[in-house]
Amino acid sequence: MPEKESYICIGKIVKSVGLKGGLKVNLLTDFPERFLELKQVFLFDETSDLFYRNREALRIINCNLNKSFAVIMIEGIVNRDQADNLRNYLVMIPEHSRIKLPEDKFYYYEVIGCDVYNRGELIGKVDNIVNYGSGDLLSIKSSKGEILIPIRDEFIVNIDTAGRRIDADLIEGFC
Amino acid sequence: MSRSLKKGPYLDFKLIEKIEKLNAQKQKKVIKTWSRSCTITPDFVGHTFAVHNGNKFIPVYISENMVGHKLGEFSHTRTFRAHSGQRKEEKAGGKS
Repeated sequence: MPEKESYICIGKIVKSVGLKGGLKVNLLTDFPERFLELKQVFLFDETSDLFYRNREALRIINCNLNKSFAVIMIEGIVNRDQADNLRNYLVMIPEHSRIKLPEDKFYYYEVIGCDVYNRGELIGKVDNIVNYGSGDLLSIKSSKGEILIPIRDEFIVNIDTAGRRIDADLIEGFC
Repeated sequence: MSRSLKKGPYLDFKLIEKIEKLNAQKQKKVIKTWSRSCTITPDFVGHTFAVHNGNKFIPVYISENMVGHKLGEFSHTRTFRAHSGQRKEEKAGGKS
């Protein structure tokens, strides 16, 4: 059986909809239209750290997509009480079925934890990706504290997610 | 009420001096500033400012489409902290 780490989260169930077991899902994906093509999903409870029905794949029988959420119907969930029990569950898919990205793009979770080198010198590890209004910034945990670097061609030379390494070329004043 | 056109945009002249100096030397370095209300002029394009948000300095690389805005617009003072923990979400990004 695959590990929990081999699944990625694409949504979170926030409430039930209607009387026939509809589930409102907040989208945690950059590709909401993927919900319309989804055949099956897995549900995961963060509080108990367990998958719903022992990691059983649940078939989606209907999906309506809105701007910021989707309403899905799952086979076997037929009334409001059953739907209410699934509140706060995460909607997961296996990692191998994620959307393929172009070469210059990456998933945030792939970058977190990578070592960052400035002109060959290790400066720290990526702790998070933050946005203060001017675009995505790498938040790097270093011995000197937090360093923020804009994810731009001017500063980031190469991102090697497989090798867990980011090469940067920083100007004076960053570190 | 918007600023009078007669006055022109607000500029922090200390910042302008620093930019002119760097442009003359053809150098690039991060300029720390607390002047969030300074308007971004075309001279700023290509430079990086560390704009203070009340807590820390946020690096802002100035691109052409930021001209006319204020520096503070790119250094939010309030941040939304999602309770995502370490979950792997299908969120993507890339170099811009």
